[in-house]
Amino acid sequence: MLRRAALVALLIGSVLAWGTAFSLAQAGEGSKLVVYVYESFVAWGPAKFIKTEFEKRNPGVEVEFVATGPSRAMLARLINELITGGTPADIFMGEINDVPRLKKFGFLVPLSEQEIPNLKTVSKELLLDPDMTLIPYEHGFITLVYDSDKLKPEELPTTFAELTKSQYQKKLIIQNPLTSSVGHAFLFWTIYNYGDPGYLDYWRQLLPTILTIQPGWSAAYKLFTKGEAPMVVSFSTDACFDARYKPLLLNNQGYRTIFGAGIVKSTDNPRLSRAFLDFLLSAEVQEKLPDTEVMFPANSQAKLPEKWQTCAVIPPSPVMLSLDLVAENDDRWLDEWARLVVRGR
Amino acid sequence: MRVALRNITKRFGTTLALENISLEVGDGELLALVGPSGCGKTTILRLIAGFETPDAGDILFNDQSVLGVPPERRGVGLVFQNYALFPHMNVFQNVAYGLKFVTSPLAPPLKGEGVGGRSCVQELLDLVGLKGLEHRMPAELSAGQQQRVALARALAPNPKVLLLDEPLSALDAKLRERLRLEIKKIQRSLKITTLYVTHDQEEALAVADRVAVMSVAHIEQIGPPQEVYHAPATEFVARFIGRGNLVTGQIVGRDGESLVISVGGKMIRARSAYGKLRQSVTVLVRPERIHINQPAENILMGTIRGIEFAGDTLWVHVEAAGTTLIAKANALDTTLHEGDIVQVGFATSDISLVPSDQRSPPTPSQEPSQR
Amino acid sequence: MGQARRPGTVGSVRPFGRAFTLTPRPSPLRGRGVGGEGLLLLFPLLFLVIFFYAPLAHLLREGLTKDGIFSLEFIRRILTDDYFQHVILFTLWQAFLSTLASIALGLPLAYILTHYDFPLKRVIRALTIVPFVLPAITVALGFALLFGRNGYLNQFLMSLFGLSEPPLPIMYSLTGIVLAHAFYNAPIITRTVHAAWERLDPRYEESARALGASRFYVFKDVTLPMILPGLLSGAALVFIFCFLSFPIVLSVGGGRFSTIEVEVYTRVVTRLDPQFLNYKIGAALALIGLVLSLMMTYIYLRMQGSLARQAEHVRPRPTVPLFAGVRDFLRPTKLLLWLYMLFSLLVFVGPMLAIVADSLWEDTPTGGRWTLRWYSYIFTPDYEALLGDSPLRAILNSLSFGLGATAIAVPLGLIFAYVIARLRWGGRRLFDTLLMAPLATSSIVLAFALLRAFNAPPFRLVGTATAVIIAHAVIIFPFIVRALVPVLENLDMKIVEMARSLGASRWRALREIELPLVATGLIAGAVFAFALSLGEMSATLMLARPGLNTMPVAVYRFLSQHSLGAPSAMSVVMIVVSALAFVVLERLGERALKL
Ligand SMILES: Nc1ncnc2c1ncn2[C@@H]1O[C@H](COP(=O)(O)OP(=O)(O)O)[C@@H](O)[C@H]1O
Ligand SMILES: [Mg+2]
Repeated sequence: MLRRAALVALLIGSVLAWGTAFSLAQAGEGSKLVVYVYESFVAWGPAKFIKTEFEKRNPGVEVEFVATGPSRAMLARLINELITGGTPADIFMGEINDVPRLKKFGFLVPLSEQEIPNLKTVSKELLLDPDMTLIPYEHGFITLVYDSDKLKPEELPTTFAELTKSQYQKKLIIQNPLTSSVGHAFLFWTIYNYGDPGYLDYWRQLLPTILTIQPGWSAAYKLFTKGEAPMVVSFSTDACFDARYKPLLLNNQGYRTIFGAGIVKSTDNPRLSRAFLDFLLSAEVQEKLPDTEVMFPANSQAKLPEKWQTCAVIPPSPVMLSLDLVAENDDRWLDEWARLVVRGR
Repeated sequence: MRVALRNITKRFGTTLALENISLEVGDGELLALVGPSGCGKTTILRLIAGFETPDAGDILFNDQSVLGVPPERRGVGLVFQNYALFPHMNVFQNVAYGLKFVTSPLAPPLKGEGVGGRSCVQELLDLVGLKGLEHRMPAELSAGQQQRVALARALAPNPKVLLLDEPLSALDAKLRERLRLEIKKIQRSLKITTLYVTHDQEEALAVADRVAVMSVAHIEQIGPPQEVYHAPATEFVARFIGRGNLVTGQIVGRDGESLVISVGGKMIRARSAYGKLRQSVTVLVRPERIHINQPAENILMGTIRGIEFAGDTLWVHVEAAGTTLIAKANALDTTLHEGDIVQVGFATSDISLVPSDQRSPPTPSQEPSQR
Repeated sequence: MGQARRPGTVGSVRPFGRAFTLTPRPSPLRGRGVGGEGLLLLFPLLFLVIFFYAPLAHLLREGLTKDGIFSLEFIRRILTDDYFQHVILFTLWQAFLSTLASIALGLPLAYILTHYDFPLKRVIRALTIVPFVLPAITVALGFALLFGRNGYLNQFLMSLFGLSEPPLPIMYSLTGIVLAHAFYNAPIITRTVHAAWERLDPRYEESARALGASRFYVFKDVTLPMILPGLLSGAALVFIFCFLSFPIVLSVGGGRFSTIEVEVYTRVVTRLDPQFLNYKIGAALALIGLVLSLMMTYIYLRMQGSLARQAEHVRPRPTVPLFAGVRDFLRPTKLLLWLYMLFSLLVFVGPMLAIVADSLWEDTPTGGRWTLRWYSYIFTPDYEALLGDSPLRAILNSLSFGLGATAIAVPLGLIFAYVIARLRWGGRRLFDTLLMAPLATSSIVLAFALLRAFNAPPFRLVGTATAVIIAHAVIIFPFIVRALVPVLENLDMKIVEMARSLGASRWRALREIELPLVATGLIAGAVFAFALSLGEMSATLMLARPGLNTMPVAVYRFLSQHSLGAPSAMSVVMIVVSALAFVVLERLGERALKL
């Protein structure tokens, strides 16, 4: 009886498991293009479109998006694979602030306009990496977003300084810079305005305003829409998704956030990888990005959807710290920030 | 403290554990409750202790119903067969445990002589013969010692009633005999009302002031040990208590004070006032009342089929009158051998009649006719 | 963002035939030496070394080397930094508080399960494990919906008392962290205590009552000390899980708290630098965390060992109906019980109900309305968010990984538990402690260690179901060991000797006598292990490729996009599927063992 039960359990388990494994093994290896990307890129939809269209254009090719975490988690996975038995990844997609770090790791291939023709369509202001290891394909602006049902326009803060007033106590939800790229950008934004080490004083004053620091954008936004607080750190384009939630520009600024894609040196498919990047920058894909990613396309020729004329806000003064400054100080900033927030000093 | 059960019925699901039981234990009396396993003895103790509630009937302590009183306030001492000594407390702590809860100045610890718990515990340990073992853990005690601790523990809070559930059944025969005497001595000295449950009839007879014999869910007979032994009220009691020869026969006549009973075609006489002609009866003769090869009022011829040696005694199995009778003989008697033809004899007054019918008492006879 | 790994006794007796050989058979497992049967150990040990200890050691070594040579620099740096001191102390403190809260919440439920009869008792008992599998994000969300500033509870209290500010600041505080940990872990306490309590001879408690002890004193002086080994066993697991908790601390704590695990994550993931300095600090931190939690485990094992005692065979404890008329309903003790149940419903069921409500609700410009659209949304076959993984696939994956991993973990755990319980050798407690390492290792470090293990020859298995199943088996098998060792140790060897004297081989005695006697523990352990597999995320994500996503991964996926009710709908699907799986698994287990 016992033996039979164990046997049955084992049988069920293994049949199911091998079934799963088998269906995976069926796809051929050689013509496979593996893309490591942050999970929201897949979750929000463009990945599906890109995969279908790219495979249609390149018969026999399979695109596989591996998206098992946020941008930096994918990077960490890639590096851990590279220092052990190698990685299956051909393409890495991530945040531009990591470019200096990526270069120091040195596993991305420098690229040029000759290799990626569509690169010439990309707005020059986005091309921050002279070596072109991570090619920008979309960008956006981090701002505050408020719930227009809860706050009237005259009640809104207009500057960073005003945000620390007592009337806004517990009214803001932010993301943790240690785990979220949106929260990371917000930290940079305060550093842009208050300098180093002035930003620490600002954060000390800001803490009472903050209701909670969430590990990721999704959780933060969900709490925001559930009415936990009337303001959240998010994107200037959010109103395109739901008009109730409107951008709130502090100091008339928005902090620019750029995402790019690069080719992993160890790829056995350099030609296909380049074709993929070129396709990523094509107007066809780029015009999908506003509706799926709710981000601005990098391709300056890509047409924006009709309603973006009104709902998408481009801040009068977009700001961004230089990549070198970020590369040099980022780790210390994160450290200081964590000590301040956790210990209150 | 007098304890009384009035018409108690108790069911567990579909099992009828006790049916309309009534029982009384007098102040300072030791009543032994004896019966086969599963007949409901433990259930009676648990009812008295307050762990079960009867489905019908009442339980009285000194004529006061205790049905609503929780176990901790009934003032009963309890000893289980497995002793249930708290394994994480040493001997001293086990015995002292109940003293924690003695709060009323009206109910001082044992005998009222103990000043505070310590001396009282010491006294008790002395009483049960465990001096010097205070710091042992239960696991470090022999079974007999554990039993003594359990007894001391139950006695410590000076209970009004002591309930012992097969207290000795886990011990070897020699120890059992010694301990039951000790228990009786302690019970006498404390004059504590005691209900002593056992399935061992010999133990019950040895220890009790009165014995209550149970069959499944019923009490068959209550009385002093001698009465229960010599004058069993039912066949069940006759079979359960003591070694005995039970043979069925039929009343065939009356001869003065005695009835004439036909057993396997042989006539024997029994002294009894009752008995109806042609009534079928069970005849009880205790082995020690049977004499081999000696003159007696009733004599049967038989063949020895077996002899058991038991030290000072011989148990002689004799086939007679179509049945096998057991007789007790002196071990020094070397004249008896298997296969011998012998006379078995017993006095008319040594025969008891037990009604074959389970629960109806012997019916008073209409004038039995002469043969 | 990985979810913290979620926490944490089989046969029928046939009469022995006469067909046994009469040749005397040595019994190596009873004696000192490890003979033929000791070989049985070789395979599972090898398995663990290859797939767990070696990769883990390899990774943790980073924390003990500098420029390729041994160095305590990183350890020293951590231990002398007052920030890290604070984090380490806070980690211990919150784990301690959370364990207390889990006991407070779980113990009364164990009492109810042990002492009362009520309809659907077995089902409800199986369902108590459900919280255990939920992704942290779901729990955080459920807590926010219920206890948040705008949550149902605060809303209710505000309208009840006409307040302008939410009165209960549960969320985004240590209270919230502790409550959420209790939500997760109280079921462990309930299960382990319930198992111990059921085996406790009621006559101990009756003796105490007859001696005049009130219910309270009986519990304090007799019951509690005797169920303490079970309680400690549960508490030790809870402590370890809370010690390693990470997403709950981040989200329910609101970012103002940090634990060792949070620091490890940020060092080895987000702050990974080309010089690997942070990586080394992360490894050193993980090592410190591992040593601390193994030390706690060791202390607990010693305590439990000294408390263990021979269990006696007792008749089943009597149970009484929970609902016994109106007058009984209003008794003070019952009232207390109802009060507790109300509270535990709030903490256990409340957050889940909030998730259910959320999954059925849609905000509209004019307010909102009830809807089923999120369910149809997640079950739209070509839904894009999962890319090749439909939710149905995720359900199937979760169940198959869980079953596969449990099928490996049960024999593995059984062999180890047996060796620990039956062999008398000096290092057994230490061995036992080391076996707990998979539960006591930082989940992110474990995930990376497994990634490295499966990414190097000869086992290049990254991205296969096999890798995920093996990883899960390694992570969950300690649960089986934990559930079995105390029961096996308490099992009276006389019974086994009796069976052998009747002619049963050592193996048959094990299979037909010992296993059925430890069945309850085995089933409980297996179900918990299965649950742990269902909820596992860190390693799954690290080893997975498309097509291998599980239910909790799907929940995260749905959350990371704008479809507001979809993650809740997926969570509800997960609750229902795992609840059904637990009920079926327990039934099957009991059937197989003829309980
Ligand atoms: N808690 C219980 N549940 C069900 N049946 C019980 C319970 N306690 C006793 N019984 C049944 O009641 C009967 C009497 O039991 P008990 O009083 O223990 O017998 P004794 O002590 O004479 O051996 C038995 O048939 C037993 O099975
Ligand atoms: Mg009994």
